[in-house]
Amino acid sequence: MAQDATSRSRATEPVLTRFLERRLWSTDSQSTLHDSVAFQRRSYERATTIVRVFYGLSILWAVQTIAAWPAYARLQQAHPLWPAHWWFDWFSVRNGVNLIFWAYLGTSIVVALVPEQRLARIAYSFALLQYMAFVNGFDKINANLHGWFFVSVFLIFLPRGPWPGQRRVATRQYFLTVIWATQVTVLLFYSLTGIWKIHDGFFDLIHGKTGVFSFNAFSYIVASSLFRTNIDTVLGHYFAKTVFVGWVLFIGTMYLESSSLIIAFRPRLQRLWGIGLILFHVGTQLVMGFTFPQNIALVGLLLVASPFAPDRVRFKDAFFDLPWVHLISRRIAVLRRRSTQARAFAPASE
Amino acid sequence: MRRSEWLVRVVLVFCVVYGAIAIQDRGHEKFPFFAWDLFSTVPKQHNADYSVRILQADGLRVPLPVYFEQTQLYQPLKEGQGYHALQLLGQVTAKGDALRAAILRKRFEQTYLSNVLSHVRYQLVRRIFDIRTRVECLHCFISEKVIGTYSTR
Repeated sequence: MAQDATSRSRATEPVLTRFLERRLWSTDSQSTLHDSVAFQRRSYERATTIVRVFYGLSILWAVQTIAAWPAYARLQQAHPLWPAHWWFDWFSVRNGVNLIFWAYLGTSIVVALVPEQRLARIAYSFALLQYMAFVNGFDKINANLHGWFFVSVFLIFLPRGPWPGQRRVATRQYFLTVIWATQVTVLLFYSLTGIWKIHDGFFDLIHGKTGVFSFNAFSYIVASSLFRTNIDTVLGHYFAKTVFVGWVLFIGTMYLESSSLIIAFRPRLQRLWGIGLILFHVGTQLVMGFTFPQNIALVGLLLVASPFAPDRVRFKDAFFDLPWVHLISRRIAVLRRRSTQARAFAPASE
Repeated sequence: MRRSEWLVRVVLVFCVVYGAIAIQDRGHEKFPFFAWDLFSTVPKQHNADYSVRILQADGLRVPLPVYFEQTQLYQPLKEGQGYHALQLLGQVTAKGDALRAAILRKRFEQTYLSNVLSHVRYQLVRRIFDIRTRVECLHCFISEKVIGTYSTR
Protein backbone atom coordinates (compact mmCIF):
# COMPACT_ATOMS: atom_id res chain seq x y z
CA MET A 1 0.00 0.00 0.00
CA ALA A 2 2.76 2.38 1.04
CA GLN A 3 4.73 1.35 -2.04
CA ASP A 4 1.69 2.13 -4.22
CA ALA A 5 1.41 5.60 -2.71
CA THR A 6 5.12 6.23 -3.27
CA SER A 7 5.01 5.14 -6.91
CA ARG A 8 1.89 7.27 -7.45
CA SER A 9 3.53 10.38 -6.01
CA ARG A 10 6.66 9.71 -8.09
CA ALA A 11 4.50 9.49 -11.22
CA THR A 12 3.21 13.01 -10.61
CA GLU A 13 6.48 14.65 -9.58
CA PRO A 14 6.94 17.76 -11.74
CA VAL A 15 9.77 16.15 -13.71
CA LEU A 16 8.71 17.49 -17.08
CA THR A 17 7.82 20.94 -15.72
CA ARG A 18 11.27 21.25 -14.11
CA PHE A 19 12.99 20.00 -17.25
CA LEU A 20 11.19 22.59 -19.42
CA GLU A 21 11.90 25.34 -16.90
CA ARG A 22 15.59 24.50 -16.81
CA ARG A 23 16.08 24.00 -20.56
CA LEU A 24 13.66 26.40 -22.26
CA TRP A 25 12.12 28.87 -19.83
CA SER A 26 13.74 32.29 -19.75
CA THR A 27 12.38 35.20 -17.75
CA ASP A 28 13.09 37.51 -14.79
CA SER A 29 13.32 35.64 -11.50
CA GLN A 30 11.49 37.13 -8.50
CA SER A 31 13.80 38.11 -5.67
CA THR A 32 11.64 36.88 -2.76
CA LEU A 33 8.94 34.28 -2.19
CA HIS A 34 6.51 37.10 -1.44
CA ASP A 35 7.26 38.67 -4.85
CA SER A 36 6.76 35.31 -6.56
CA VAL A 37 3.35 34.80 -4.95
CA ALA A 38 2.33 38.39 -5.73
CA PHE A 39 3.35 37.96 -9.38
CA GLN A 40 1.45 34.67 -9.59
CA ARG A 41 -1.67 36.30 -8.11
CA ARG A 42 -1.46 39.17 -10.60
CA SER A 43 -0.97 36.72 -13.50
CA TYR A 44 -3.93 34.66 -12.29
CA GLU A 45 -6.22 37.68 -12.14
CA ARG A 46 -5.24 38.67 -15.68
CA ALA A 47 -5.75 35.08 -16.87
CA THR A 48 -9.32 34.93 -15.53
CA THR A 49 -10.10 38.15 -17.43
CA ILE A 50 -8.60 36.67 -20.61
CA VAL A 51 -10.88 33.63 -20.31
CA ARG A 52 -13.96 35.83 -19.89
CA VAL A 53 -13.00 37.95 -22.92
CA PHE A 54 -12.39 34.76 -24.94
CA TYR A 55 -15.95 33.60 -24.31
CA GLY A 56 -17.30 37.11 -24.88
CA LEU A 57 -15.70 37.14 -28.32
CA SER A 58 -17.13 33.68 -28.98
CA ILE A 59 -20.57 35.31 -29.11
CA LEU A 60 -19.28 37.74 -31.74
CA TRP A 61 -18.04 34.93 -34.04
CA ALA A 62 -21.34 33.09 -33.60
CA VAL A 63 -23.39 36.20 -34.38
CA GLN A 64 -21.34 36.79 -37.54
CA THR A 65 -22.48 33.41 -38.91
CA ILE A 66 -26.14 34.47 -38.88
CA ALA A 67 -25.71 36.28 -42.23
CA ALA A 68 -24.91 33.01 -44.03
CA TRP A 69 -27.49 30.94 -42.13
CA PRO A 70 -30.50 31.37 -44.53
CA ALA A 71 -28.37 30.53 -47.59
CA TYR A 72 -27.13 27.33 -45.94
CA ALA A 73 -30.66 26.39 -44.86
CA ARG A 74 -31.88 26.76 -48.47
CA LEU A 75 -29.37 24.21 -49.79
CA GLN A 76 -30.84 21.04 -51.25
CA GLN A 77 -27.85 18.94 -50.23
CA ALA A 78 -25.10 19.20 -47.65
CA HIS A 79 -21.99 17.07 -47.13
CA PRO A 80 -20.70 17.98 -43.68
CA LEU A 81 -17.52 16.46 -42.29
CA TRP A 82 -17.76 13.47 -39.95
CA PRO A 83 -18.58 15.19 -36.62
CA ALA A 84 -21.80 16.69 -38.02
CA HIS A 85 -22.60 14.08 -40.64
CA TRP A 86 -25.08 12.10 -38.63
CA TRP A 87 -27.47 15.06 -38.13
CA PHE A 88 -28.05 15.06 -41.85
CA ASP A 89 -28.82 11.33 -41.94
CA TRP A 90 -31.62 11.94 -39.43
CA PHE A 91 -32.97 15.36 -40.40
CA SER A 92 -33.54 17.42 -43.54
CA VAL A 93 -30.80 19.90 -44.56
CA ARG A 94 -32.92 22.80 -43.28
CA ASN A 95 -33.49 21.20 -39.86
CA GLY A 96 -29.89 20.05 -39.58
CA VAL A 97 -28.60 23.54 -40.38
CA ASN A 98 -31.06 25.17 -37.97
CA LEU A 99 -30.10 22.76 -35.21
CA ILE A 100 -26.36 23.38 -35.61
CA PHE A 101 -26.63 27.17 -35.92
CA TRP A 102 -29.01 27.49 -32.95
CA ALA A 103 -26.76 25.26 -30.83
CA TYR A 104 -23.66 27.25 -31.79
CA LEU A 105 -25.30 30.59 -31.05
CA GLY A 106 -26.99 29.40 -27.86
CA THR A 107 -23.94 27.73 -26.30
CA SER A 108 -21.75 30.74 -27.09
CA ILE A 109 -24.14 32.99 -25.12
CA VAL A 110 -24.45 30.53 -22.23
CA VAL A 111 -20.69 30.00 -21.89
CA ALA A 112 -20.07 33.76 -21.93
CA LEU A 113 -22.56 34.07 -19.05
CA VAL A 114 -21.21 31.17 -16.98
CA PRO A 115 -17.63 30.43 -18.10
CA GLU A 116 -16.89 28.85 -14.73
CA GLN A 117 -19.26 25.96 -15.53
CA ARG A 118 -17.32 23.14 -17.18
CA LEU A 119 -20.49 21.75 -18.76
CA ALA A 120 -21.08 25.08 -20.54
CA ARG A 121 -17.48 25.02 -21.84
CA ILE A 122 -17.88 21.45 -23.10
CA ALA A 123 -21.20 22.30 -24.79
CA TYR A 124 -19.65 25.32 -26.52
CA SER A 125 -16.68 23.33 -27.85
CA PHE A 126 -19.01 20.60 -29.09
CA ALA A 127 -21.34 23.07 -30.85
CA LEU A 128 -18.36 24.90 -32.38
CA LEU A 129 -17.04 21.58 -33.71
CA GLN A 130 -20.46 20.86 -35.25
CA TYR A 131 -20.54 24.27 -36.90
CA MET A 132 -16.99 23.90 -38.25
CA ALA A 133 -17.77 20.39 -39.54
CA PHE A 134 -20.76 21.78 -41.44
CA VAL A 135 -19.24 24.90 -43.01
CA ASN A 136 -16.01 23.11 -43.95
CA GLY A 137 -17.89 20.38 -45.78
CA PHE A 138 -17.83 22.45 -48.95
CA ASP A 139 -14.83 21.40 -51.04
CA LYS A 140 -12.07 22.86 -48.88
CA ILE A 141 -11.32 23.17 -45.18
CA ASN A 142 -10.81 26.76 -44.00
CA ALA A 143 -8.55 27.13 -40.99
CA ASN A 144 -10.00 30.31 -39.49
CA LEU A 145 -11.65 28.61 -36.49
CA HIS A 146 -9.26 25.72 -35.81
CA GLY A 147 -7.12 27.68 -33.33
CA TRP A 148 -10.23 28.95 -31.52
CA PHE A 149 -11.61 25.42 -31.29
CA PHE A 150 -8.45 23.84 -29.83
CA VAL A 151 -8.08 26.69 -27.34
CA SER A 152 -11.70 26.13 -26.27
CA VAL A 153 -10.91 22.42 -25.79
CA PHE A 154 -7.96 23.22 -23.50
CA LEU A 155 -10.11 25.70 -21.56
CA ILE A 156 -12.41 22.81 -20.62
CA PHE A 157 -9.59 21.75 -18.25
CA LEU A 158 -9.90 24.98 -16.21
CA PRO A 159 -10.56 24.39 -12.50
CA ARG A 160 -13.99 24.68 -10.96
CA GLY A 161 -15.20 28.16 -9.97
CA PRO A 162 -15.61 30.50 -8.33
CA TRP A 163 -12.45 31.96 -9.85
CA PRO A 164 -12.23 35.44 -8.27
CA GLY A 165 -10.18 35.64 -5.10
CA GLN A 166 -8.80 32.11 -5.36
CA ARG A 167 -6.57 31.57 -2.31
CA ARG A 168 -4.91 28.26 -3.15
CA VAL A 169 -1.55 28.74 -4.82
CA ALA A 170 -1.74 25.29 -6.48
CA THR A 171 -5.17 26.03 -8.01
CA ARG A 172 -3.94 29.36 -9.34
CA GLN A 173 -0.87 27.62 -10.75
CA TYR A 174 -3.04 25.01 -12.45
CA PHE A 175 -5.24 27.74 -13.95
CA LEU A 176 -2.13 29.45 -15.34
CA THR A 177 -0.86 26.13 -16.73
CA VAL A 178 -4.11 25.80 -18.70
CA ILE A 179 -3.55 29.28 -20.15
CA TRP A 180 0.04 28.33 -20.98
CA ALA A 181 -1.34 25.22 -22.75
CA THR A 182 -3.53 27.46 -24.93
CA GLN A 183 -0.48 29.61 -25.77
CA VAL A 184 1.44 26.49 -26.81
CA THR A 185 -1.48 25.38 -29.00
CA VAL A 186 -1.74 28.66 -30.89
CA LEU A 187 2.02 29.05 -31.25
CA LEU A 188 2.38 25.44 -32.43
CA PHE A 189 0.06 26.21 -35.34
CA TYR A 190 2.15 29.23 -36.37
CA SER A 191 5.31 27.16 -36.09
CA LEU A 192 3.86 24.46 -38.33
CA THR A 193 3.03 27.06 -41.00
CA GLY A 194 6.60 28.37 -40.92
CA ILE A 195 8.23 24.94 -40.79
CA TRP A 196 6.34 23.75 -43.89
CA LYS A 197 7.52 26.83 -45.80
CA ILE A 198 11.15 26.28 -44.81
CA HIS A 199 10.91 22.52 -45.49
CA ASP A 200 9.46 22.97 -48.98
CA GLY A 201 11.70 25.92 -49.76
CA PHE A 202 14.76 23.90 -48.86
CA PHE A 203 13.76 20.99 -51.13
CA ASP A 204 12.84 23.35 -53.98
CA LEU A 205 16.27 24.94 -53.60
CA ILE A 206 17.97 21.53 -53.86
CA HIS A 207 15.92 20.61 -56.95
CA GLY A 208 16.54 23.99 -58.57
CA LYS A 209 12.86 24.93 -58.57
CA THR A 210 11.26 28.29 -57.73
CA GLY A 211 10.55 27.96 -54.02
CA VAL A 212 9.78 30.25 -51.11
CA PHE A 213 13.42 31.39 -50.87
CA SER A 214 13.41 32.65 -54.48
CA PHE A 215 13.22 36.40 -55.03
CA ASN A 216 10.04 35.97 -57.13
CA ALA A 217 8.25 33.73 -54.63
CA PHE A 218 6.16 36.29 -52.80
CA SER A 219 5.17 38.25 -55.90
CA TYR A 220 3.99 35.03 -57.64
CA ILE A 221 2.02 33.93 -54.56
CA VAL A 222 0.37 37.35 -54.28
CA ALA A 223 -0.41 37.58 -58.00
CA SER A 224 -1.92 34.12 -58.10
CA SER A 225 -4.06 34.77 -55.03
CA LEU A 226 -5.35 38.07 -56.49
CA PHE A 227 -6.70 36.77 -59.76
CA ARG A 228 -8.02 33.48 -58.38
CA THR A 229 -11.03 35.18 -56.90
CA ASN A 230 -10.72 38.58 -58.54
CA ILE A 231 -10.39 40.48 -55.28
CA ASP A 232 -9.11 44.01 -54.97
CA THR A 233 -6.60 44.68 -52.20
CA VAL A 234 -4.80 47.76 -50.87
CA LEU A 235 -1.22 46.63 -51.56
CA GLY A 236 -1.69 43.49 -53.67
CA HIS A 237 -0.69 44.95 -57.03
CA TYR A 238 2.38 46.64 -55.54
CA PHE A 239 3.71 43.37 -54.11
CA ALA A 240 2.76 41.41 -57.25
CA LYS A 241 5.15 43.67 -59.18
CA THR A 242 7.80 44.48 -56.55
CA VAL A 243 10.16 41.65 -55.76
CA PHE A 244 12.73 42.69 -53.14
CA VAL A 245 10.51 44.21 -50.43
CA GLY A 246 8.18 41.20 -50.62
CA TRP A 247 11.12 38.79 -50.41
CA VAL A 248 12.47 40.46 -47.24
CA LEU A 249 9.03 40.44 -45.60
CA PHE A 250 8.42 36.82 -46.60
CA ILE A 251 11.75 35.67 -45.12
CA GLY A 252 10.97 37.63 -41.94
CA THR A 253 7.54 35.97 -41.78
CA MET A 254 9.17 32.53 -42.01
CA TYR A 255 11.39 33.34 -39.01
CA LEU A 256 8.44 34.77 -37.07
CA GLU A 257 6.19 31.79 -37.79
CA SER A 258 8.62 28.91 -37.48
CA SER A 259 10.11 30.10 -34.16
CA SER A 260 6.75 30.86 -32.57
CA LEU A 261 6.55 27.78 -30.36
CA ILE A 262 9.65 28.86 -28.43
CA ILE A 263 7.83 32.07 -27.42
CA ALA A 264 5.62 30.03 -25.08
CA PHE A 265 8.80 29.77 -22.93
CA ARG A 266 9.85 33.43 -23.30
CA PRO A 267 7.39 35.64 -21.40
CA ARG A 268 9.55 38.74 -21.93
CA LEU A 269 9.03 38.41 -25.70
CA GLN A 270 5.35 37.46 -25.75
CA ARG A 271 3.94 40.97 -26.21
CA LEU A 272 6.41 41.86 -28.93
CA TRP A 273 5.85 38.54 -30.73
CA GLY A 274 2.10 38.98 -30.45
CA ILE A 275 2.34 42.38 -32.12
CA GLY A 276 4.56 40.84 -34.82
CA LEU A 277 2.01 38.11 -35.55
CA ILE A 278 -0.86 40.62 -35.61
CA LEU A 279 1.10 42.80 -38.06
CA PHE A 280 1.59 39.69 -40.20
CA HIS A 281 -2.20 39.19 -40.27
CA VAL A 282 -2.75 42.87 -41.06
CA GLY A 283 -0.24 42.53 -43.89
CA THR A 284 -2.04 39.47 -45.27
CA GLN A 285 -5.28 41.45 -45.36
CA LEU A 286 -3.64 44.46 -47.04
CA VAL A 287 -1.81 42.39 -49.65
CA MET A 288 -3.89 39.27 -50.25
CA GLY A 289 -7.34 40.35 -49.13
CA PHE A 290 -8.03 37.79 -46.43
CA THR A 291 -7.20 37.29 -42.80
CA PHE A 292 -8.11 35.13 -39.80
CA PRO A 293 -9.80 37.50 -37.30
CA GLN A 294 -10.13 34.70 -34.75
CA ASN A 295 -6.36 34.18 -34.81
CA ILE A 296 -5.76 37.91 -34.37
CA ALA A 297 -8.03 37.81 -31.31
CA LEU A 298 -6.21 34.75 -29.96
CA VAL A 299 -2.79 36.33 -30.39
CA GLY A 300 -4.05 39.58 -28.87
CA LEU A 301 -5.49 37.82 -25.83
CA LEU A 302 -2.85 35.19 -25.19
CA LEU A 303 0.33 37.00 -26.21
CA VAL A 304 -0.18 40.77 -26.31
CA ALA A 305 -2.20 40.59 -23.07
CA SER A 306 -0.13 37.64 -21.80
CA PRO A 307 -0.56 37.07 -18.07
CA PHE A 308 3.05 35.85 -17.89
CA ALA A 309 4.67 38.92 -19.46
CA PRO A 310 6.44 41.18 -16.94
CA ASP A 311 5.30 44.82 -16.83
CA ARG A 312 8.73 46.11 -17.80
CA VAL A 313 11.17 44.43 -20.13
CA ARG A 314 14.71 45.64 -20.80
CA PHE A 315 15.64 45.73 -24.48
CA LYS A 316 18.81 43.72 -23.83
CA ASP A 317 16.90 40.90 -22.08
CA ALA A 318 14.30 40.76 -24.85
CA PHE A 319 17.02 40.66 -27.51
CA PHE A 320 18.86 37.77 -25.84
CA ASP A 321 15.55 35.88 -25.49
CA LEU A 322 15.01 35.90 -29.27
CA PRO A 323 14.87 32.41 -30.83
CA TRP A 324 18.33 31.36 -32.11
CA VAL A 325 19.95 34.45 -30.48
CA HIS A 326 19.17 32.83 -27.12
CA LEU A 327 20.69 29.54 -28.24
CA ILE A 328 23.87 31.15 -29.59
CA SER A 329 24.32 33.48 -26.58
CA ARG A 330 23.84 30.54 -24.19
CA ARG A 331 26.44 28.50 -26.08
CA ILE A 332 28.91 31.41 -26.01
CA ALA A 333 28.32 31.84 -22.26
CA VAL A 334 29.06 28.12 -21.68
CA LEU A 335 32.25 28.29 -23.76
CA ARG A 336 33.39 31.42 -21.89
CA ARG A 337 32.75 29.78 -18.52
CA ARG A 338 34.71 26.71 -19.56
CA SER A 339 37.63 28.75 -20.80
CA THR A 340 37.68 30.81 -17.56
CA GLN A 341 37.64 27.60 -15.50
CA ALA A 342 40.38 26.08 -17.67
CA ARG A 343 42.54 29.19 -17.15
CA ALA A 344 41.93 29.16 -13.39
CA PHE A 345 43.07 25.55 -13.06
CA ALA A 346 45.92 25.71 -15.57
CA PRO A 347 49.44 25.48 -14.07
CA ALA A 348 51.29 28.75 -14.18
CA SER A 349 53.69 28.80 -17.14
CA GLU A 350 57.33 29.45 -16.44
CA MET B 1 1.08 20.79 -8.49
CA ARG B 2 0.13 17.30 -9.61
CA ARG B 3 -2.59 18.51 -11.96
CA SER B 4 -0.26 21.10 -13.48
CA GLU B 5 2.39 18.45 -14.18
CA TRP B 6 -0.19 16.18 -15.80
CA LEU B 7 -1.41 19.03 -17.95
CA VAL B 8 2.14 19.83 -19.08
CA ARG B 9 2.47 16.17 -20.10
CA VAL B 10 -0.86 16.32 -21.98
CA VAL B 11 0.37 19.43 -23.82
CA LEU B 12 3.59 17.70 -24.82
CA VAL B 13 1.72 14.63 -26.08
CA PHE B 14 -0.71 16.91 -27.93
CA CYS B 15 2.17 18.69 -29.71
CA VAL B 16 3.80 15.41 -30.73
CA VAL B 17 0.54 13.80 -31.90
CA TYR B 18 -0.60 16.94 -33.72
CA GLY B 19 2.77 17.25 -35.45
CA ALA B 20 2.68 13.58 -36.49
CA ILE B 21 -0.85 13.93 -37.90
CA ALA B 22 0.14 17.13 -39.73
CA ILE B 23 3.10 15.36 -41.35
CA GLN B 24 1.12 12.28 -42.30
CA ASP B 25 -2.03 13.97 -43.57
CA ARG B 26 -0.57 17.01 -45.23
CA GLY B 27 -2.90 17.98 -48.05
CA HIS B 28 -5.59 15.48 -46.92
CA GLU B 29 -6.71 17.00 -43.66
CA LYS B 30 -8.17 14.73 -41.00
CA PHE B 31 -10.71 17.11 -39.50
CA PRO B 32 -10.50 18.74 -36.94
CA PHE B 33 -6.73 18.59 -37.41
CA PHE B 34 -5.23 20.98 -39.93
CA ALA B 35 -1.70 20.68 -41.28
CA TRP B 36 -1.20 24.47 -41.51
CA ASP B 37 0.51 24.08 -44.84
CA LEU B 38 -0.16 27.60 -46.15
CA PHE B 39 1.69 29.19 -49.09
CA SER B 40 4.65 26.83 -48.84
CA THR B 41 4.75 26.21 -52.59
CA VAL B 42 5.22 28.88 -55.22
CA PRO B 43 3.08 28.83 -58.37
CA LYS B 44 4.95 28.60 -61.67
CA GLN B 45 5.12 31.67 -63.87
CA HIS B 46 3.32 29.85 -66.68
CA ASN B 47 0.37 28.18 -65.06
CA ALA B 48 -3.06 26.70 -65.76
CA ASP B 49 -6.38 26.74 -63.96
CA TYR B 50 -10.02 25.84 -64.52
CA SER B 51 -13.07 28.04 -64.41
CA VAL B 52 -16.67 28.15 -65.51
CA ARG B 53 -17.66 30.55 -68.31
CA ILE B 54 -21.34 31.43 -67.97
CA LEU B 55 -23.01 31.80 -71.38
CA GLN B 56 -26.58 32.27 -70.28
CA ALA B 57 -28.28 32.72 -66.89
CA ASP B 58 -31.43 34.16 -65.38
CA GLY B 59 -30.65 36.46 -62.48
CA LEU B 60 -27.14 37.55 -63.42
CA ARG B 61 -26.53 41.29 -63.71
CA VAL B 62 -23.22 41.31 -65.57
CA PRO B 63 -22.65 41.16 -69.35
CA LEU B 64 -22.34 37.63 -70.74
CA PRO B 65 -20.29 35.53 -71.36
CA VAL B 66 -18.48 35.91 -68.06
CA TYR B 67 -16.05 33.81 -66.03
CA PHE B 68 -17.26 32.73 -62.62
CA GLU B 69 -14.69 34.77 -60.66
CA GLN B 70 -16.04 37.95 -62.32
CA THR B 71 -19.70 37.30 -61.47
CA GLN B 72 -19.35 38.35 -57.82
CA LEU B 73 -21.27 35.21 -56.89
CA TYR B 74 -18.67 34.12 -54.36
CA GLN B 75 -20.01 34.41 -50.84
CA PRO B 76 -17.67 36.14 -48.40
CA LEU B 77 -15.18 33.67 -46.87
CA LYS B 78 -16.13 31.05 -49.47
CA GLU B 79 -13.94 32.34 -52.31
CA GLY B 80 -11.22 29.81 -51.57
CA GLN B 81 -13.69 26.97 -51.32
CA GLY B 82 -15.33 27.93 -54.63
CA TYR B 83 -11.96 28.17 -56.39
CA HIS B 84 -10.90 24.81 -54.99
CA ALA B 85 -14.20 23.22 -56.09
CA LEU B 86 -13.64 24.48 -59.65
CA GLN B 87 -10.06 23.16 -59.80
CA LEU B 88 -11.16 19.73 -58.59
CA LEU B 89 -14.05 19.64 -61.05
CA GLY B 90 -11.74 20.64 -63.91
CA GLN B 91 -9.06 18.09 -63.04
CA VAL B 92 -11.52 15.20 -62.64
CA THR B 93 -13.37 16.09 -65.89
CA ALA B 94 -10.10 16.43 -67.81
CA LYS B 95 -9.02 12.99 -66.54
CA GLY B 96 -12.23 11.50 -67.98
CA ASP B 97 -13.67 10.23 -64.68
CA ALA B 98 -17.25 10.81 -65.85
CA LEU B 99 -19.09 9.57 -62.75
CA ARG B 100 -17.05 11.59 -60.24
CA ALA B 101 -17.13 14.61 -62.55
CA ALA B 102 -20.95 14.44 -62.69
CA ILE B 103 -21.15 14.30 -58.87
CA LEU B 104 -18.77 17.25 -58.47
CA ARG B 105 -20.54 19.26 -61.17
CA LYS B 106 -23.93 18.76 -59.50
CA ARG B 107 -22.44 19.78 -56.18
CA PHE B 108 -20.84 22.89 -57.68
CA GLU B 109 -24.09 23.87 -59.42
CA GLN B 110 -26.13 23.45 -56.21
CA THR B 111 -23.69 25.28 -53.98
CA TYR B 112 -22.59 28.15 -56.19
CA LEU B 113 -25.00 28.51 -59.14
CA SER B 114 -28.55 27.26 -58.51
CA ASN B 115 -28.66 29.05 -55.20
CA VAL B 116 -28.86 32.44 -56.92
CA LEU B 117 -29.34 31.76 -60.66
CA SER B 118 -31.65 29.69 -62.81
CA HIS B 119 -31.44 28.25 -66.34
CA VAL B 120 -27.67 28.51 -66.45
CA ARG B 121 -25.73 27.38 -69.51
CA TYR B 122 -22.01 27.29 -68.96
CA GLN B 123 -18.69 25.96 -70.21
CA LEU B 124 -15.93 24.38 -68.15
CA VAL B 125 -12.70 25.94 -69.45
CA ARG B 126 -8.98 25.22 -68.93
CA ARG B 127 -6.89 28.39 -69.17
CA ILE B 128 -3.14 28.74 -69.54
CA PHE B 129 -1.65 32.05 -68.47
CA ASP B 130 1.41 34.00 -67.43
CA ILE B 131 1.12 35.12 -63.80
CA ARG B 132 2.73 38.50 -64.42
CA THR B 133 0.48 39.29 -67.40
CA ARG B 134 -2.68 38.09 -65.73
CA VAL B 135 -2.28 40.15 -62.62
CA GLU B 136 -2.37 43.22 -64.89
CA CYS B 137 -5.11 41.93 -67.18
CA LEU B 138 -7.60 39.45 -65.76
CA HIS B 139 -8.82 38.26 -69.19
CA CYS B 140 -5.40 37.79 -70.78
CA PHE B 141 -4.75 34.09 -71.30
CA ILE B 142 -2.17 32.34 -73.45
CA SER B 143 -4.84 29.82 -74.38
CA GLU B 144 -8.36 28.74 -73.41
CA LYS B 145 -9.73 25.24 -73.97
CA VAL B 146 -13.40 24.32 -73.51
CA ILE B 147 -13.68 20.94 -71.76
CA GLY B 148 -17.47 20.70 -71.77
CA THR B 149 -20.71 22.64 -72.02
CA TYR B 150 -23.49 22.06 -69.49
CA SER B 151 -26.76 23.56 -68.32
CA THR B 152 -28.85 23.64 -65.18
CA ARG B 153 -32.64 23.68 -64.90
